[in-house]
Amino acid sequence: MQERNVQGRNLAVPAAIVLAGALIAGAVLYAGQSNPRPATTDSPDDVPAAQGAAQQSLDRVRPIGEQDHVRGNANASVVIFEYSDFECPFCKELHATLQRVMENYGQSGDIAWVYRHFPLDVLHPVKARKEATAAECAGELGDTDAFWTYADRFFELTPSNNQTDVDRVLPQIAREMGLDAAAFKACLESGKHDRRIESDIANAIATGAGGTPWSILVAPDGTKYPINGALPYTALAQIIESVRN
Amino acid sequence: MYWRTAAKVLGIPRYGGLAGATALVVLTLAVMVPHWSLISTVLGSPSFSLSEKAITLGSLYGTLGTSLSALATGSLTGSSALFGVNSALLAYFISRRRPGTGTGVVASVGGLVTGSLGVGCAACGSLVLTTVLSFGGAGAALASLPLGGEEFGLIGFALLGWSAILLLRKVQNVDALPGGARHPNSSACAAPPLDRSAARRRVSPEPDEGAGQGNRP
Repeated sequence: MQERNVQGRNLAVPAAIVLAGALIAGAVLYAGQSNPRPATTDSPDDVPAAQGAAQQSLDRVRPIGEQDHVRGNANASVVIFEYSDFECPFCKELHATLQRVMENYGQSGDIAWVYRHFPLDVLHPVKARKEATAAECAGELGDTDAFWTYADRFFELTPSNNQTDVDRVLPQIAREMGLDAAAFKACLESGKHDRRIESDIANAIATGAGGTPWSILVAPDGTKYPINGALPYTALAQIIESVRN
Repeated sequence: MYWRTAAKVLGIPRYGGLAGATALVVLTLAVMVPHWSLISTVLGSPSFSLSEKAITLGSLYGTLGTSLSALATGSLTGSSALFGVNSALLAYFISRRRPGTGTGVVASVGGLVTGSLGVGCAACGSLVLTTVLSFGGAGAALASLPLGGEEFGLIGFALLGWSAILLLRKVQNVDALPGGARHPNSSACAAPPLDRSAARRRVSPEPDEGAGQGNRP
């Protein structure tokens, strides 16, 4: 009897090791293959995307349209579609990285950076969506580069993680840019950009986004590289160099 | 006293190397898993030379500074190191062929799994826990935690630390046994009753309080 108990205890070691291996392998496979749906949407359009293969999901990225905000050459051979949340700290990190990418590669006209909204309402209720609307309003009321000016300045000022004082910061940036304060306020409250933001969110989910920042780099040969999170500059620069050559 | 035992085990090149290699593998997995789709695309792309593929993969370690909070980076790095130490201690202990490691092993596994769950961009969603929870629409529950889900990383770190202490105790016990070696029939038989006082007398020449009491007439 005692011997049987000891044998059982001996089996605990290899069993636990096997279990650990299985759990790790399962986690790796699961996390690698799945394209989770964020809790922010109930759009039926995203259901097939969540079930589809990763590359098929990436093919759903909406081509550059007139409503898009593009920094760099819109006809560039390399296009980075970024889906971003103004309250996400890692979006702030990636924004700075992409600014650096554009400084170094944008002059050649080979790179385009397309900004699309993906406010995570569950994590950053009210504020993220309001900030997206504010950026759209700035783009509407200001000059052709006003959207980017607003976004750049916002990411400089925001502490992220839903801690931005939107009642102070949003009008402040509008004032700094010389926008009409009354028109800016009216635009913010109008809801006129809601549909456009929803469209960006739906497209993010359709392409397999599970969080922010979510980006897709489209190479000259049409290959789509999914970028989950804020890649460091060295990684992005290497990918750009390789696909350009 | 535990650190001395840990230093002794990790000072053996075989076990020190195992600890380092295991820690590196765990850290690499944690860093690479969120970027698996990108990695598979890069590896399958003819646009990248072999060296460019290697550079791209290596540069992904930089996401420790860009895609994780400082707390998550700390708990991930610490958990990886502790997992490596646990692996080395476990291997050392198993090499001594003493049964009864269940608690330490289970705690080690529990620490790794819990740590893995909490790793990643908890606020913005990137790794295992967020992946699982987002299917059930439970992201709000995660967001409602004080640290946005990074608690799991800390729990994993604590579990791995506890596991390491349990393993160190067992290593100390087994090393204190006469010879510290395997029982001839260890695969089928229980360890002989642990005579700690005898073991301590052999290991430590200085007077031992417990042994003294045991020998008191």
